[in-house]
Amino acid sequence: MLEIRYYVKQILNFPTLSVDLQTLSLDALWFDALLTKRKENLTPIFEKPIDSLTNINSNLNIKATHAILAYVLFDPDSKIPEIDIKKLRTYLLETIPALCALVNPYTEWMKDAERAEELVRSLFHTLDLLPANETKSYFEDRFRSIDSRERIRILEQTKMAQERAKEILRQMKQKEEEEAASKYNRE
Amino acid sequence: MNRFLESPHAPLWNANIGDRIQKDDFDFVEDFKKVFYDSKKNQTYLGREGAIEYVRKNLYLSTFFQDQLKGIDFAENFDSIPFTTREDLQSKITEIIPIGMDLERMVINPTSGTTGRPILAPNHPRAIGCYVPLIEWTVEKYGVIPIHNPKSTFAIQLCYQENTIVYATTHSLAGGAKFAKINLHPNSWKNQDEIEKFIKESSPQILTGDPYALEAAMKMGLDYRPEAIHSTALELTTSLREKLREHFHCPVINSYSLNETGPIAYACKTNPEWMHILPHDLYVEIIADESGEVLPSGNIGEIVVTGGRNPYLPLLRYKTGDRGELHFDRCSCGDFFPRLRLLSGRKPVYFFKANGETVNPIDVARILRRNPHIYQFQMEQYTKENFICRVSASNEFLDLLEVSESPKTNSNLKSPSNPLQIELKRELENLLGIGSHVKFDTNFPLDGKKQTAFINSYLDTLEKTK
Repeated sequence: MLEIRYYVKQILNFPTLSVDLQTLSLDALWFDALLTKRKENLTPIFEKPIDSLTNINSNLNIKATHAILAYVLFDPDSKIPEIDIKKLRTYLLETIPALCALVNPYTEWMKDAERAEELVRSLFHTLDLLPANETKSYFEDRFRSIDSRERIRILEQTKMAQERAKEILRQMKQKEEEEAASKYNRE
Repeated sequence: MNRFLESPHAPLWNANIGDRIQKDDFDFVEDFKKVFYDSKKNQTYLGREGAIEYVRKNLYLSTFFQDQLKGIDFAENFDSIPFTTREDLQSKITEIIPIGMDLERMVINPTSGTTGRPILAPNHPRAIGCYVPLIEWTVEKYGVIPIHNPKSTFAIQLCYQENTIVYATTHSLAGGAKFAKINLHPNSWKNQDEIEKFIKESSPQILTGDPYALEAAMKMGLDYRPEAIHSTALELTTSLREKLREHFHCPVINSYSLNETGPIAYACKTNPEWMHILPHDLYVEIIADESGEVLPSGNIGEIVVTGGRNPYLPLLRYKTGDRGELHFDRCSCGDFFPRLRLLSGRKPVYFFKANGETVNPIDVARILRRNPHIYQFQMEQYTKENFICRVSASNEFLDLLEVSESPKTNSNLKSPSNPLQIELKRELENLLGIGSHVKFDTNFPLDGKKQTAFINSYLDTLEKTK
């Protein structure tokens, strides 16, 4: 299993210009990707054509994210071992739409190293894979710290938390009456 | 330090303030200083790419950023990010402050009150600590080598107000060099003759202050030669700059700084009408007044900033309320950061007592700001003895009376009968001197916009008459 930064680099270097998202068929993409991985004939990854399961064609962000993930799994140098197709299917159909709602456009995966790492870790997390040189607890901890869903959950909770707002305002009022900090100039 | 504080010439200290720097803050500012000096050396100004990185970093920390950026491809289309307004800073501050911030370290520095509705910008000692390298770099550019030594005094900040805090401290980020804020007003001294003695005894390398205080120092004949003068807060006119330079025999460095951001720009050594963007971590745009479109180099519009280092106040295309133009060409002074020319900055306005003594409008602001019923204000002197105070205020304050007549066309303004108004009127008239009359106009809009807070149309009239 390679270190996580190898896969991050793969995402950051995803050849986006080589992909025509409009004409890309995700059924064909995943079939080919897994065929390459397993070197044997497979039944399709999705039980039905993916278009009949989701409205993916209208969401280029999800489509592109599938392409990025397939690129990571398809990579001939990748040391990702045998994967659980059922888990992958659930991940692609449920987790990815949720992630794409928070991280968009899809180019953010390639522009922000932290988001790239998030995508790799979420894939590994789903497939119960552990990158080289990492303990399970380190992996979990790092994933939680960069997981957009976790952050949004906290943000939403915070947003709802009137108590926090009240506390901030109370502190501001108090701090206004307290000692300031010395500075050379005035504004 | 004790000798400084207990000097027989010292002013009547009335506050005890330090830089509040802890070990982590010290390291933070040291790192900031290194990157800042390197950026100046290598001329790496925070461009749009840097601003995008900054936005990305804060997107997952601030619910305000989340809301502003929802559905926006900000990396591809930075111009489509909605502006942050002064109202946002007033009404959505709890959403702007990133989650998980330790509120214990928050500080609120009092503003100088030169605009009608000051913003209580929360800040962190480490972000205020960054003023030290920023200001030191500025004066170094003018040939001053700061001495980092507990025996040395780097700066004395001058004020001229009836009432303000006066203190002395050491700055750990400046090697323990001393610093003091003093008030030139007689109220702050046992004996006014001590002002010059104290400054000479302290021997500060530079004097800082707003043009109002610097002019007051000059007019009282302060005989001291600092290595440089650093002017902020109000517009420094060319004529005052020249007079100060001749009087104090040193360079006078004008600078642009906001409570929300810290220092933004400093006067170019070659062409002091222009100011170079100072920090490496602030992205400055000029936007059109009506359309909000980003204007190309050389066009005048509102100054909008993104970035900075205040952990409590990440700024996302913040409309400063100030206007100016930006140039990106190379400058012969050697600083290639963009050049900013401020347009109609905050002009100093002086009020006069009937006996001719001046009153610092900041004292007026202090009274109005501390009044919990006043939300926004403007003060105008329209005759030798008459003032009108325009306010948007609480219902309690507004009860019983509403005055909306123009003071110049109708001299029969009613006197207030609401106790809250009577009390405020008394306080203001005490400040403005014997014979002064203050009337209230309660129709001032509460819109959070940066407005002219002080007007002296009496002086304008006098000048026109002459």
